[in-house]
Amino acid sequence: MKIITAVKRVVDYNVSVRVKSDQSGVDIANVKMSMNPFDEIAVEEATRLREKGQATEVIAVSCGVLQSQETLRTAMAIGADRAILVQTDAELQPLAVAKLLKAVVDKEQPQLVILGKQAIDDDANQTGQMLAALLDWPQATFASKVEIADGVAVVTREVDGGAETVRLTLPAIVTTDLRLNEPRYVTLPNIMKAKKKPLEVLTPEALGVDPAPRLQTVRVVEPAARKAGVKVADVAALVDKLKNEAKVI
Amino acid sequence: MKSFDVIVIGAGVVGSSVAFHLARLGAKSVLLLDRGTIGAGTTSQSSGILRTHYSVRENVELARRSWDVFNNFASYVGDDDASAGLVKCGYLIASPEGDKLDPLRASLAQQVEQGIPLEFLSAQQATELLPICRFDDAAVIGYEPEAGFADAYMVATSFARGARRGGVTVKENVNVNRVLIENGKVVGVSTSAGDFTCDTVISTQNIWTPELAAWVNVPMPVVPERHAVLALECEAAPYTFKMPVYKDLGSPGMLYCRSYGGNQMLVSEGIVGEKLFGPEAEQGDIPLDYVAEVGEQVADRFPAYAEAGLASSWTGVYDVTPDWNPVLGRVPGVQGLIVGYGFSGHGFKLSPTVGKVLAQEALGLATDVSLAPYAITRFASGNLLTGKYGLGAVS
Repeated sequence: MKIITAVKRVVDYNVSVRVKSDQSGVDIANVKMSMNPFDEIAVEEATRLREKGQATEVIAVSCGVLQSQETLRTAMAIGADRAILVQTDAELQPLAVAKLLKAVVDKEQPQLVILGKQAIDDDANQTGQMLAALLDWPQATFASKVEIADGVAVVTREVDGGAETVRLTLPAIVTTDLRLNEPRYVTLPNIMKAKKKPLEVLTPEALGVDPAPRLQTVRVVEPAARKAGVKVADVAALVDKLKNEAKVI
Repeated sequence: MKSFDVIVIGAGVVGSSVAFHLARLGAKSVLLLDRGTIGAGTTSQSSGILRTHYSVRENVELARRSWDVFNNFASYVGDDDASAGLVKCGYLIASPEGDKLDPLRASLAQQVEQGIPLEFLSAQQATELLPICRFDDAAVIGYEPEAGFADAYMVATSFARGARRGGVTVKENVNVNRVLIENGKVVGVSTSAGDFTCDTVISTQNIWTPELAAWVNVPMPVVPERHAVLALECEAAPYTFKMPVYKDLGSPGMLYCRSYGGNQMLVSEGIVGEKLFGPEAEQGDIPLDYVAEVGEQVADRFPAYAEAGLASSWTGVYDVTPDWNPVLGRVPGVQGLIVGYGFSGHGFKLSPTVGKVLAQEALGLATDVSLAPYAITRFASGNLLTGKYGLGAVS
């Protein structure tokens, strides 16, 4: 059984992002980039399934700019066997990524696709669901446990108020939540090995997909700055402000 | 308009120390300003290594006096709750045969002469202290038992708290737009929170010093350089808190290593880093190829680390001067302006004493250590303070 995991190159979570002055987006020039943390969990899960003998091959796929090769190398250092980059400089929205991934799935015929539940840059939480719809495959989102046996995936999902367990017939889509696993550290020998693993570069055109955005970004703005506090004279003044200004009591 | 005797620009570990010492030495009204929050700039990115090993004699003096402060931090700042996060694990520095050997010998001899506790170790003695490392090719190994590492952010915030207790006004999230000058004399600063008058400005602006240079129209050579730090984890050979900091003069990157989190190794190269085009303390990208390159050097010295995992990585920015040593003291031609910048990677180690001597200078007191070698005029006169190791953060 082949597994595909989708990985996205995003601004590292330690970077305080800044909005471009023309409000067209976030400035990512010259800042630390990393693999989307939820995708790291996806690659880890796929790797564990292969290590347990439940999968034969793990393929990491990324869509985006040339530098995403670095993210794919990280995926291969965690444990993916090979990688595919669908290279484009175009702005990619979730639907376009889902279409590109579908084209790769049609080509590679995996039994399982594991994706992060969302990317920490745009927080869209759509790609996995869209891919399931395009493929007409069953999906289990926000997975905290995945078990595979006899062509079936039993997935525990994080839902409001607890956990839900679902059974999916493979092939299927799984998106990862934080509790699914704790990704391993990439080791120095595996960074070296990852250099020698195959990395295939495709284009949207070669896959017959038009990645043009369907949504227009109107503007991107920073959250409002926190206002300075005030000192109140006594408890009575505090109660008065809570009652009449903040109107919370 | 509010008036102060002294205004300090930049509340990193150096500026906070300056403000603390101004209050300690009796300054009546002091304002400490920061564009962000206390210690949140390059201070928070410090690897925190404390040693007195320098080839530049004056640096040894600044570091030795600073060590005494770190070693008695709570009582020095007069706050039982204050902690420098000091881990007194010692500092090992080793060199094989080669071009670093003579500078190492000379620096160690100078330290001995200056009365620094120092031991010369055999490879076997060094191995007992740091068993995860190999010393078979070491020609000289120096060991400073009174050394280790501490937490720069905790030190900065403790100094700032002490300054506040001493009556200093601290304002965060305030941008200084310019220094106000009349007839060649400092009369105040103009900021996003209004104008303030003063007779003396002490700038500890680190990589943002070029802003000051433009305000006062005086060249102040400094380049921001980004350095990457890796935290490696190797189950077979944990780098414990008891193991000394290690400086490897034999590796191409002149690596420094220390314990991190009790079992990981914090490692970074002590050579020239990535030059940035402008002041920018944001986290920079660390390519996997770079991780592999540093990892290879680590594995050469710490054999078990050939299998190590990358636990985390981050970047820090140095304010590097042409000779990798700081500028301390008055700026000729601008009466009332004092600078402390260009620490080139060793600001934290020196911060307690630098804070004190800059405060002494501002108040017209004799300085504990002469500021003459650190004068800004050295760049124009060519009388540079280059260390025996050449460029890089050993100095």
